[in-house]
Amino acid sequence: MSRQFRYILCLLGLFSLVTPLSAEEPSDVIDAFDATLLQVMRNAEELGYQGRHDILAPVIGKRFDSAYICRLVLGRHWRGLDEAQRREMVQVFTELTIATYAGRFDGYDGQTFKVVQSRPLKRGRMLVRSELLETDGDIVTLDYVLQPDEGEWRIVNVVANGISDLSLKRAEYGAVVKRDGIDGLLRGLREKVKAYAEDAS
Amino acid sequence: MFLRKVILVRLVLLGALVPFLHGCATTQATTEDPLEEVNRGMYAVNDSLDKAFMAPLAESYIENTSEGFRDSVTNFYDNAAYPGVVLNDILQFKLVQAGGDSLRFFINSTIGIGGLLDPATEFGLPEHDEDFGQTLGVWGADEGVFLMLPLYGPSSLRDVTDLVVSSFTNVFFFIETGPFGIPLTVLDMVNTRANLSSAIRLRDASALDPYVFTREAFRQKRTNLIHDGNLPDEEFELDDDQADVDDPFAEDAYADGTGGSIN
Repeated sequence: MSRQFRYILCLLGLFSLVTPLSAEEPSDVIDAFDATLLQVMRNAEELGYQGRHDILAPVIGKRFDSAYICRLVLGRHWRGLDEAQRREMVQVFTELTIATYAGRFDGYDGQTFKVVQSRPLKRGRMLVRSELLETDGDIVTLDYVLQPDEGEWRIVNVVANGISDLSLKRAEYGAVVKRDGIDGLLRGLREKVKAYAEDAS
Repeated sequence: MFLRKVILVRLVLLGALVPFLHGCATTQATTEDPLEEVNRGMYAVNDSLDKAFMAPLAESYIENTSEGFRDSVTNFYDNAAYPGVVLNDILQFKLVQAGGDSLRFFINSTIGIGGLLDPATEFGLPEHDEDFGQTLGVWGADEGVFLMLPLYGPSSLRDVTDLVVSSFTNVFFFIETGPFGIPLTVLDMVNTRANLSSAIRLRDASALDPYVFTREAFRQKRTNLIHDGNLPDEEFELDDDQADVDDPFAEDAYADGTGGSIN
């Protein structure tokens, strides 16, 4: 083979490594998630809590890497859990995430979402900055950290107005585990899920 | 004469705190809380007082006033405190912002009828949030230690300095309020508490440990304010080098075969 030809083959080889993992860019993932939220918000009353929950469940399951988030939130406590406890933890945590969104996004007031910027972070992660614009002019900044997982970009952290959900939960759950153990944490999380279902319309 | 003594005492207190404010502003919030026992105690006291007095008062206030009225009240007190924002703009070398904020104070105090209205925002002079704690943060001070203050709630060794500084940059420091002093203070407290109602409800609904929630949310808010909303990338990096495993359920992620201990 001529040197030029080999060179071109090499380039093609490299190129195949850097092509996007999936057709979806991280900002597309957030756009799609925002679209689901808007849909849920607009029909919030007709759907009721359970309806909102049922729409959000598969989307959150797909878009959020809850297993990874749990590992980060529990930190060193994760090492002490066996596989059954870990699976239970992830399941309850996912349930709580869905319950939180279904409970909070319970109305529509003309809000819009807008993806503002995407930029890479370390270790192959991406930061997508977006905004929730309220009709009275208030802006809530929503920053998502995504990372690749088996060919898809998945959310591993949401930072709302500078407050990182991951950091908040890590501090809180750490304090609860220290005081009440992992069972105490699971109990507390299940109570929160129940509370959302009971409070909400 | 008495006033001068008060100012002197405050300045001395301020000076006494400065040696503790060493160290670079940390980018990752730590969960260190050396005064946790005391802080938790104070949190419990504040929470009881809030549930007993402030919360019902605030609810009643919300029920009996319009949002427009409450907005005007908020504007009024924010404007009275605004010279403090200008001072801290200058101390942080945000001179263009200081100019804009001075103009904003002037416009809202005059055209805005003593601060009740906010025409300045319409004129392209938005409200900024700067205080002395942020100034120290911009200068490189970290929080020192986390403090839960009576009534005021979450603060820190660094941020508590603003209580001193802001008291003599407030318009009411220079005006004789006479018999209106107490009602003005009470209205400020109730209106502030009313503005915080939805955030407090959110915390009570979602927090497993409301004290930790309040502490961490406060710390992150301070970091966000110090960076004026433009957090550097380090804030978004995930601290996961301790368990760098792709599959959270992988065998080698276990501490030991028996399931290990939690510590």
